[in-house]
Amino acid sequence: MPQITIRSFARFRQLFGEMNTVSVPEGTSVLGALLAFAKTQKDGMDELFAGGKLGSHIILMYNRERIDSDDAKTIHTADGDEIVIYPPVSGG
Amino acid sequence: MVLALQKEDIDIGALISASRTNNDGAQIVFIGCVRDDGNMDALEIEAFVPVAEKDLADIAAEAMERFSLNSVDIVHRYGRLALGETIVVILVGAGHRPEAYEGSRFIIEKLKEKVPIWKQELSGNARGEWVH
Repeated sequence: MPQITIRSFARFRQLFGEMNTVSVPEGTSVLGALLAFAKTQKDGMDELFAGGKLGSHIILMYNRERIDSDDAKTIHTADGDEIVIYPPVSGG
Repeated sequence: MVLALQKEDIDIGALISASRTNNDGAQIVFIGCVRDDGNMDALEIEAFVPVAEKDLADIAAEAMERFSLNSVDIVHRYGRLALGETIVVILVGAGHRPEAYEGSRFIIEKLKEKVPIWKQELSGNARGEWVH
C-alpha cells in the first residue's frame, strides 16, 4: 500500500513526533490519510478531529503547498506524498 | 536583500549599512524581541525553515511592489532565545517615510499571519505554553 509521510510541527510535533508514516489504500484522500494517522496516535482523534471533521485550527500542507480542509477531501494521495500539519503560527 | 532564518544573533548595523542606497529617504527597522510574560526565562522558536524562507521571499516581493520600497531585509531567528534577545529584524528602505512605515507594518503582520514559525515559553528545562 502507498506510504504517506505525516510531518508535524509545534504542539503536534510534541504530541505525535516530527515524522510518521501511514499506509493507506491507493487513492485515499488527504483527509482519509489524516484520519488513518490520527487513529494510530494516542489522542490523535481528539487533537485533530472534532465530530468527524478536521479541526478548524489545523493548517495543512500537501507536498509543500498549503491546502484547506475542502481540498483535503478531494486530493488523492500517492506513494511518497507528504502531508504537513501544524497549529496557527506565532512568529515575529 | 537579506531574507533568512538563522540561530545566530542578528547584526542590525551591518544590515542597515548594506541595504542603504542613495535612493533611500527613510529606513525603518522593526525589532521583535523576547518579552518576559512571567513564569518564563526563554522562548523556544521552531520554524519549518524551507517553507518559511519561501514565505519571507513572497512577503518581501509583495511589500516591495505594494509600497514602492527600495529594499526589504527580513531575518528571523529560531532555537532557544533568552529574555531580551532579538527574535526578528525587518528593515525596509524607501524614498519617503509613509511607504517605509506602511511597508514595515505590512511585513510584520503578514509574517505573524502566515509564516510557519512557532514560539513556546520555557522556564528552566520545563516547557510551557505555545504562544498564540
